[in-house]
Amino acid sequence: MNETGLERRIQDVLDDNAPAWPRSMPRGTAFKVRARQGVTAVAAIGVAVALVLASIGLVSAIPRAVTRPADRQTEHPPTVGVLPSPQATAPINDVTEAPPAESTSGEDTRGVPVHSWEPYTDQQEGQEAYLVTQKHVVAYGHVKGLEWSLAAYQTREYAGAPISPGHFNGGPCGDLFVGDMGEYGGMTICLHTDETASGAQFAMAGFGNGYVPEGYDPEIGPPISGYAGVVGSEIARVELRLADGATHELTLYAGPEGVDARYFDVFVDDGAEGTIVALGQDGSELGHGQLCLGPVPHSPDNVGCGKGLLGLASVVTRGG
Amino acid sequence: MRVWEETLSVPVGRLAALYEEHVGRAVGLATLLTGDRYVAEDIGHDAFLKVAGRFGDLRDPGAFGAYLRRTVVNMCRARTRRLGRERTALDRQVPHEAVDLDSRAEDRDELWPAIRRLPYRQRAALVLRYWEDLSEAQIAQAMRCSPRAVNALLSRAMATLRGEIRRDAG
Repeated sequence: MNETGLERRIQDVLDDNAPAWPRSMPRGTAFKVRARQGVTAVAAIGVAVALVLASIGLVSAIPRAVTRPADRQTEHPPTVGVLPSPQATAPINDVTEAPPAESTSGEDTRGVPVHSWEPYTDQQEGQEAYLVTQKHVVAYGHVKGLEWSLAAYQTREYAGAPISPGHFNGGPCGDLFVGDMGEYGGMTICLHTDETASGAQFAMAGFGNGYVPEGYDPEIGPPISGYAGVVGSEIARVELRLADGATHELTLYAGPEGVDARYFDVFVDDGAEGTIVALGQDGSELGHGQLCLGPVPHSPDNVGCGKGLLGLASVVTRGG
Repeated sequence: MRVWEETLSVPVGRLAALYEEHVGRAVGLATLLTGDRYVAEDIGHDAFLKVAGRFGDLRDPGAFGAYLRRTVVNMCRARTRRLGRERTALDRQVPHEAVDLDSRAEDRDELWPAIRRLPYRQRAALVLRYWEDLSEAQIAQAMRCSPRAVNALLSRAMATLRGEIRRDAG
């Protein structure tokens, strides 16, 4: 079948499966629209008032900002975080450390950011039940041409619900997602999970996405193997020690205000073997985890592993 | 107060006309994106409420259909994401039993199940191109991505469908 024939057949199939819906506006719709318009207007007024108040606050805060301590200022973007690929065609990889959050309390009312130039954060309905701070992106970049983002946040204990990632024990958590809208899925990691000790200083997990549509160039896009983790204040540095003997020190990203933890992530080649080791000030090992993913299967279902793994979000593939 | 005057200025008759002009198409689009007629009706109606609810804020009220289309695409995407998350959570809690989602649809053509199996963004680009007959620039606007990304999504979708047809034929 030639291209035109296939296009025609797609049009016919879509026409066949799209229902006709010749229905007039149901009663009550106008009232609901009016109600929404009222809410929108009130919200617009609220935003305007908030902007005025924020402007006043910003002006009064400028002298304090000048004298902020050095440890609160933005660090230079790191150069390590994504391993070079041994493959002939160099994929598009980069990493950027996000600036610290100015305010982290309450719920992020912006909803799911959908602008492709804004790092993705996974916002869920009802997340205020376990969120103590907003989800704040601490690092983002590209791996094999796809956007990724690492978000940090503080949680309280929460028994969980079917649509939440799972049972939160409270403490620092984070999300690693791939795709400019998270469409390649991701994972939720926490320092304190059912599989880590309550006083844990190190937790990590792996996330793999291997869905490669037929005819798709595997140099750009999946399979993707990533690891991310959370460390406590006793950890001085984190190293990736590959089975071939190579060692990489991983960048630790400070959590936003209200999150007393640092985060790391690294993308490795499919099937990479090795260990991620957390070291104390004196160089002693305080925790470690194996690169547990292995070769990522070519399947729409993502894979995850590791004691710090709280939940896994699958790649978006199938409709209703 | 400008906001109040504008947002409350759409008469009921105009609302009804907007509804009859656009919601049927929105339900059709949602059906093709979700594969579920009943869910699609809810999404089409809710999308209308959302867009009409901020009619006064639209930069171009004449482009109501485009705003509605973009809202439908976003709502279907959110639903698909949520379903993926629910499925993952359930998979962790109960033994998995395979469910043939396609068995609920009338498979008039083997191409329809193949279209439904496409990743959401590829399916959305395909439907917007071949059912809504939009240009790549218009699709990019509806999906909030670049025209280049749309081109890549369509190429991948077509490659997958060609592969499916070859497999069926073989």
